[in-house]
Amino acid sequence: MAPKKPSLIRNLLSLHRYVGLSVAIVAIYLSITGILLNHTNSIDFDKNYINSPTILGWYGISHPDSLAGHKLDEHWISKWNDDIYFNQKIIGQSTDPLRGATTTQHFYALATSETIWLITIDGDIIEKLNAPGEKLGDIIRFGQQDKFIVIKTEQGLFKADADLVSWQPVEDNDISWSNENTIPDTLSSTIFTQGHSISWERVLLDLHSGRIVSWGGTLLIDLAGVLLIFLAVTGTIIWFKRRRRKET
Amino acid sequence: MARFFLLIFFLVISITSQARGVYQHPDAFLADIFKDNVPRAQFIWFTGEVGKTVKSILSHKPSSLRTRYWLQEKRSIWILEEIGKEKPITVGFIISQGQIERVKVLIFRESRGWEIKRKGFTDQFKNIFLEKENSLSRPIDSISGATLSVNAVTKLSRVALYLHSQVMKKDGS
Repeated sequence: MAPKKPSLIRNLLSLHRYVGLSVAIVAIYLSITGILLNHTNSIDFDKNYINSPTILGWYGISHPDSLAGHKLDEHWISKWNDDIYFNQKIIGQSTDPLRGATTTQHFYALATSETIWLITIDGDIIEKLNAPGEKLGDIIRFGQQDKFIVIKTEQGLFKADADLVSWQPVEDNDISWSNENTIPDTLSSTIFTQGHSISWERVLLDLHSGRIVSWGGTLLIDLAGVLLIFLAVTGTIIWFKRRRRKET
Repeated sequence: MARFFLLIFFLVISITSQARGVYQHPDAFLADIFKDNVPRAQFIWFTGEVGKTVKSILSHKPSSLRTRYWLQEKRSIWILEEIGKEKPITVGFIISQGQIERVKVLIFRESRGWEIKRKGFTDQFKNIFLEKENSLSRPIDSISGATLSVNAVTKLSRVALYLHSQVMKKDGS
């Protein structure tokens, strides 16, 4: 007696079982990340930002151990990723290097190589001025003499009047230059966390899509998607064929 | 074929190289106007009604609490900044008798929309003045691909005209 030929339904069932087993973990993973993604607002995943150097490393983001800044009374002026910070508050952007910060008669002031910003004690910008670079060159150092702003450029030392309208050459006497210092760890940690826009929601989204591990992850999730479609189709066929057999 | 692509490449490079940059340093702009005899700068604060009006023209809070201007008889000069898409565009305005005498784009930091520096665009603002609700007396033609930069310069022109009117009021003219 010739051996019995395996039926289509048996083949499908066997394939369905093996594919189901192999894709089960990915299906659970997709379900969990999918459910979490549906509720990112209520669990504040969209407002909480990643602080883990490992996860940030996956995104190619790294930060130094410390951040340098300029102290103004009890405040810190610093620059991170083109953002200028007054303590932990971003007050503006500049691609130019930060040269220093000082106090004037009425306001605080900070300087990049090409601009001088006057700011209030709360960190609000009063005015952004183009440094007199056309005539005097870019700012190399920033400080004050008797509460009047002094800049050092390639052409020498210049002192501004109270309104920063005119600049006069000045001797290097009793100038209090702004010097870089390491800002407190707690502040730099806050700045590093705020300084990028990788939220937990974004990480979850990338976990769900597989993008978190580059093209290999995306391919794996794509493959899992195709296999889940296969399971749905074979499952339906098997159910339909069995139902018909029962009826006959 | 290789030459053709090379030509296209250099064409793209030359166009983008025109895009960003300091077209004229603000100091040089002032020196040009006042023939090196620049009057002392004065300030106008964005507080009270002035602040509210500037905010409504820009559709956002001004980026600073005050701006400076230069006054010579009934002529005022303003150097103002507004973000086009991502970065601020610095524009110089000469206002005379309540009308725009000249507009010049001084610093352009965006990667697109540099066409606003062309004279054909800035000349549209000549003799324009403010009408009711701080709108311009004439519409400004936009430039395809530079809409945000055009909007920024148009808003700044309204701000400059409005601030000029405030300064003249203060001046009693």
